[in-house]
Amino acid sequence: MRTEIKVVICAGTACHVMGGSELFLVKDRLDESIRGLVSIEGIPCLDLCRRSAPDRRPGGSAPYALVDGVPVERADLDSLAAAITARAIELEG
Amino acid sequence: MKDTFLEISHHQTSKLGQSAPGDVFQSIKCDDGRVVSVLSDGLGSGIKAGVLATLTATMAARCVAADIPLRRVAEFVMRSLPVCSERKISYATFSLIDVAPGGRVRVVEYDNPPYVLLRAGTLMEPLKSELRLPRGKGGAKGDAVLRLSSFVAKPGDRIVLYSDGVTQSGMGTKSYPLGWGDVAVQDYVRDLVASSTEGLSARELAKSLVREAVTKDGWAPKDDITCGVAYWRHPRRLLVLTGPPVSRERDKEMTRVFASFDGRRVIAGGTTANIVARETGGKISVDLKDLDPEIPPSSSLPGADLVTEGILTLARVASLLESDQDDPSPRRNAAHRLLELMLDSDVIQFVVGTRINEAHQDPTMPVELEIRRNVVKRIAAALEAKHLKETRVSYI
Repeated sequence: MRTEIKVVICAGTACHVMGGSELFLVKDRLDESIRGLVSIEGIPCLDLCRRSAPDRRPGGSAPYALVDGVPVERADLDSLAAAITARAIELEG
Repeated sequence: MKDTFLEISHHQTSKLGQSAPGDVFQSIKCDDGRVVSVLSDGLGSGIKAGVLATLTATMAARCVAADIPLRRVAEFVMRSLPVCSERKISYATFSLIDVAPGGRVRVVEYDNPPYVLLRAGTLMEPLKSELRLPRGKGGAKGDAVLRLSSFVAKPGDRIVLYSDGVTQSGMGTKSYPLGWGDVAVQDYVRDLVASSTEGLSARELAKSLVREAVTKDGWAPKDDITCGVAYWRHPRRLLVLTGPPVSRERDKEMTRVFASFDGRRVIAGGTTANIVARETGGKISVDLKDLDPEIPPSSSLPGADLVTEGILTLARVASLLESDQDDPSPRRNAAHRLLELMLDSDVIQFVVGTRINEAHQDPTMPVELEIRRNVVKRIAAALEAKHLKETRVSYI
C-alpha cells in the first residue's frame, strides 16, 4: 500500500487572488488518520488557468491543486480536503 | 570614475515623542548628471523644525542644481527662513554636497558637525575655506560662517554627513558627559568600515551610525538623529526577470540573459520561473515557511537569488517604494525581500516578458491586476527618483 498522498498547490497569481493561499492549511481540515499520509508542496504556477476550455471564463476555475496528479478545480479548504480523503479511501480500498 | 556607482542613502530617527523628524536629508539628480544632496537640521524638533529643515534643504538643493553661485544660495536661504516665535531667530543648519559626473565634489557646510571623508580606510581632512555672510533679518548676532571644500572623489571614497543628534548623543550620561563627540564619531565610522569584510553599503553605514547614536542616548533619542552617506563603489547589479516572452521561440533567449548575468538574479512570475526551470533543468521548490495572506510565497531555484510570484508582488514593491513611510508591519514576505534586494543594488535591470496571461484579464477577479509593463515602469521611476538607482528596462 502507498503511504503518501502528494498534494501540489498552485501559488500563481490567479490562484492566489481566487483564494488559493488558504489551501496550504488544508492539513488542519483532514482527519488525523490521513494527515500523516499527506505531503503538501507548492508550485509557482500549474499553468492550468491558461489551459481552461475556451467556453469557460479565463481563470474562472482557479484556484487549482493537484491530488496525486489529479486536478481539483475551484478548490477551497472543504473541497480539497474532500478530494484528499477520497483519494485516501481509494488507496485503502 | 569608470565603472563606479555613487550610492547615496540616509537613515534617521526622530526625537523621542516627536511624530515628525526635524532633520531632512534630500537628494536630487540633475539633468546634467550632477547629484546634489543636502542634510538640514531645523531649530528645535518636531513639525516646526521639520518645516525649517525642509525649506532649507529644498531651496539649497534646487538652487545649487540650477547652478546658482553658493554665496547667493546661502543668502536666499537665510533671508527666506521664517523666524521662530519663541527664540526670535530663524535658523536651520545644512551640509550640501554637489557631485559632478567626473567625481569633482563641492561641499558647503553651515553649522552642522564637520563631514567625514573616508578614503582607503583613512580619515581625510580636506582644506576648507570660509565664507562669511551677514545673517537675515531677525537672525542671530554675528556673521554666518559657511565652510567650503572641494576635491575629486576616488573609487571607494565615502562621505558621511550627520546632524548634531549624532555627535551629542549620550550627552549627560556618565560615559559621555559631553556627548559622543566629533572625533569619537569619526573613529567609529573608520573602524566600522574597516571591520566589515564586504564593502559596507551607504545604507548600512547610515543605519549603523544612527543606531549607535540611539544606543548612546539610552534608546530614547534626545534630538533628531540623521546620517547621510555617499559611497563611490563598484556597482552591484541586479537582474529582475518578469513575465514570459511574447513567443515561445524567445524562451531560450530569455534564459540565456538570465544564466549569463553578472550579478544577483530575481525571477518574478510563476510562468517565468517555470520557463527558466525547464530550460536550465533546475528544480523549483516553493518555500512554505513564509506564508502570507496577501503575497504568494517565494520559491528557490538554483542560480536565482529569489523567485517570487509576479504581478501582485511587483505591485506591492511599487507601492512600498512610492510610500514615504517605512512599512510598519513586521511581516517579511516575498515583496519585502525583493525590495531589500533592489535597495541593496545600484544598477537594476528589468527584462519584461510581454505575453499577456488571459487568466488575469477576467473582470471578476477580486483584485485589480495591473499590466506588468506599467508596474515595472512605476518601480523603475521610484528607484531612480527616490533612491538614485540606475535602472534599465528591456522587453522581450
